[in-house]
Amino acid sequence: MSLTIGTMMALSFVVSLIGLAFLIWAVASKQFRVDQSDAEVIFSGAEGEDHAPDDPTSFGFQRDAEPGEGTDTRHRKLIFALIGFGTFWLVLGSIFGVIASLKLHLPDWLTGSAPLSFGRIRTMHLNSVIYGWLSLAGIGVAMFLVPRLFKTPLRGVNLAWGGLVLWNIGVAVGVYAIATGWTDGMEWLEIPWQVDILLAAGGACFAAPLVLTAINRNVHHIYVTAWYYLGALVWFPVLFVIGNLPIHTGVQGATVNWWFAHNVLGLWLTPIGVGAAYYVLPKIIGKPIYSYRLSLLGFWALALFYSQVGMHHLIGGPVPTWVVTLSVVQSVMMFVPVIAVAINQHVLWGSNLWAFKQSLPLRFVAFGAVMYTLASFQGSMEAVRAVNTVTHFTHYTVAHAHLGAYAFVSLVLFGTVYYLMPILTGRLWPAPRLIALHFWLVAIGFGVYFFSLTIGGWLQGLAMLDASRDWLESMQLTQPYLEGRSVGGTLMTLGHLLFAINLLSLVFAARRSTDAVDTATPATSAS
Amino acid sequence: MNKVLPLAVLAFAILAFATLMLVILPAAQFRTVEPADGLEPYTAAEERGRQQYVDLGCYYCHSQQPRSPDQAPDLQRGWGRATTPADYVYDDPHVLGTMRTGPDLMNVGARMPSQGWHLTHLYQPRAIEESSIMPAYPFLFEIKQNPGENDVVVPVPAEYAPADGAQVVARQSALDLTAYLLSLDRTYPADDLELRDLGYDRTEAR
Amino acid sequence: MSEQNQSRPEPQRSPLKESRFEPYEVNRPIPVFVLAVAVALMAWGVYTLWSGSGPATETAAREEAPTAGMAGDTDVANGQGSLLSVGASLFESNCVTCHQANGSGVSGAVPPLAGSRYVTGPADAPVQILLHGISGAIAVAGNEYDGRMPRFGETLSNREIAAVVSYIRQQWGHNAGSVTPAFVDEQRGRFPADRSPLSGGAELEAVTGISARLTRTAATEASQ
Repeated sequence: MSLTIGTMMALSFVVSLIGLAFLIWAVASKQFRVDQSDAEVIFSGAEGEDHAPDDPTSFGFQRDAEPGEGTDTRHRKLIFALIGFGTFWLVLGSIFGVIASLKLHLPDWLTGSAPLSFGRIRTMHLNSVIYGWLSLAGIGVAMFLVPRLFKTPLRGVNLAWGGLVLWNIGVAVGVYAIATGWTDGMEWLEIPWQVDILLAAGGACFAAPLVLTAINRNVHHIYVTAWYYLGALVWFPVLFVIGNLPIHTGVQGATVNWWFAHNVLGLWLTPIGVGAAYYVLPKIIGKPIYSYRLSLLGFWALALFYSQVGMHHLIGGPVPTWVVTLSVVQSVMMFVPVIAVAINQHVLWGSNLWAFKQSLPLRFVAFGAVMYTLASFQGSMEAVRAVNTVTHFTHYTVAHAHLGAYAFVSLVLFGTVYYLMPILTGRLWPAPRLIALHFWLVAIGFGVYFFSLTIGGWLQGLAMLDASRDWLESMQLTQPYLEGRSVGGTLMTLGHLLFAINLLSLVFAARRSTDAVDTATPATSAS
Repeated sequence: MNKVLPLAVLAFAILAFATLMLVILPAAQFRTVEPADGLEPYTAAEERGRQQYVDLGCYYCHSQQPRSPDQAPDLQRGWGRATTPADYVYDDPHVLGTMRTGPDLMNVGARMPSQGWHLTHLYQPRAIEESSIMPAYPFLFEIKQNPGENDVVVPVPAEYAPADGAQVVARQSALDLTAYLLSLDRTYPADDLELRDLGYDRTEAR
Repeated sequence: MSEQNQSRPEPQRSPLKESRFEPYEVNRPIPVFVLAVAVALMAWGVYTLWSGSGPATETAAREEAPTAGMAGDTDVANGQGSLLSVGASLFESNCVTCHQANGSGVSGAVPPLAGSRYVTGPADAPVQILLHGISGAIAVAGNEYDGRMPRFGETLSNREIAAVVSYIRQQWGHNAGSVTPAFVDEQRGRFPADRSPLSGGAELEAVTGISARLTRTAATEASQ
């Protein structure tokens, strides 16, 4: 048995390597060149033009330009609704998160009722922010970007509205179910599978319009952002359905659990964030991405390697050595796509630092893009057995999860929303300084959060490995760091409230001056 | 790239391959695992208690997977030997856990075999360990002036006892949860050791 | 380009329309160092899989299996290995979970072995506890306990019980005598193999004569 398994594992890695080698060969021998020429033809009018930051939030900076050809105000309200509900879940989820954080150093606070106990409120936090905030806001951004990328009006707008209703009901019922103790009991899969049917149906209603728009597109070339979106639309449904099938028991449940949970990060949230950053960074700066070939490498290597990293959550656990080692190796291989994306994105903003003075969304998005690089490097290191022995079972892992899901994906989404809302509403942000304040609140809050838990978690892990120290010490020494986490989390939550206030003030300002919007709208769509 | 369908097909194929490696092949290996000798199925009360354990999210802070002595001093901490898939055959859903904000509980029934200790600890962990950050679970208990004959009275130190001389009585949920915790006892010998992660084991092969 | 940029902004224009610029990618080659990193990682990956777990999985499993089960089963059965080393490994695999490696037990739940009069006193007490298990109130080293301990009469042989009892009687500064397999066999004869567990310190007193009450002398003895 173990011989065949060893062979299978070697086979898996070899297949991944062959895939990577083929990709590099194809890229190097210009197999993809035709497409790129297309792209240059299509956008030739754009190159050489003076590239000014395209950013309606900047202090006093304004620019005239042709309206985007893909702009379609028919589904403007859909995008508002997606982002609006996403923000609602963000604020609610952050409040759950702060309560959970406080409970770790105030264990006798709010102990009276089961829904408020740590184990439940922590889970309500996770599900609100992952399935509520990140998924809805991410889809909202996709609904904005995909028609633009394909210069095609969004298909199936009404279907997407149905998806919004189903998805919100699904998340609301799911979070309520967790509060009442009805749960599937696996991390990231807590929402009962019966409720997940709603989410699956809602997800299909979101996917269909995006895919139809892609198929009926008016441009030949598919820009890198759309690769990530299309990939995510293929991957997430498969993950979600297999992960939620109520057939996994025993240790086998654990392998499915972590295969799912890590792929949600890598094949759903990561494409949402990387895809948006790939669009917003060049769009705001007004210059192209560094290298098309690196984009290809980054995308396909992500698919090849990330899809197999999940078992690093079970290092040292009761699962076969071969599958753990396979995931460890694939985790480290993640350096390849991450470096590719890093060069593409960081070279662009790094050589155009002037744009930061003028654009607030750029701050969020570039910060998020850097955090993607750091989170991935850190993740690869954490999967190495020697490091994992220390960090596994500690708060270090929690800091890492927030580096990826929050500092990377959420910040990119904040920036993208700040970028797109004025274009959609036809109004400027009423108070750009509040946007800057939002940025500093979440950046500083996250810094406090991250360094507290990283340091505390590392010390906790070292104490736990030291047989001469009582286990209790490893818990007691984390106390000040857990308090630090609550401070950071509170700052981040204040930032989110500010984000919600900014959005509300823009939308209500838009509503008050409907005339202005109506005159702006035809101007936007008439090209 | 300029085609939607090939992109989608290749993306799907890559994930399908990963699913084969990470889901289907391990499942095929685990499917043949028999329960370890010495592992008993959960009784009805223990299973109800296990559901409490899952509903209340105990597994977010407590792992149930001691590591091998070559990797970490889990055995010396009294958490038990390294576990194998045969130890989890009756677990649905799994509660392996990823955090040790609290200690590992794989063998807590063997380590802490007293029902009274667990009930007191659930009612108020700080009555037993002052620095504990485990939540108190008072809603698993009720306060009675005159407990009946069949009521299980929880021994609570005066400092945490109800003010007016009333008694703390365990609800059925607390008794079930305690029954589950007491059932956590994997002190029998390990089966199928080759099915666990031996990546840390110091053998001559290294 | 950068001088141009510094000459902006031009604030008189409308801010609400998108720029005509569409993001695209320049057709640059992949930097050599990225390829170098990829190749290096591939080499590392192959090495790790090859040396780390492919062949080693089988070897490790084969070598580990005996120690993980009832340690030293075969050694003991064959009469090999010293009594104390076998006892040590049996203690680690069967007893440490509750009684801890240093024999201190768990406060409030598991009685200590270190300093226990039941361990260092007449040898029939530890042997009977191992053979039949024990359940109920018992006072050890100044504290009251009320738990249960499983029986090992079926799972451990006479020689193994002799080994582990000898081990705990000479660990942690204890200086009590070794126990022979013959003595364990003799103790087995005292009760039927399927009898119920000893009921706490009270029955131990009846069986072994060790006082169940923590008298002053017993406490003193315990603290030795």
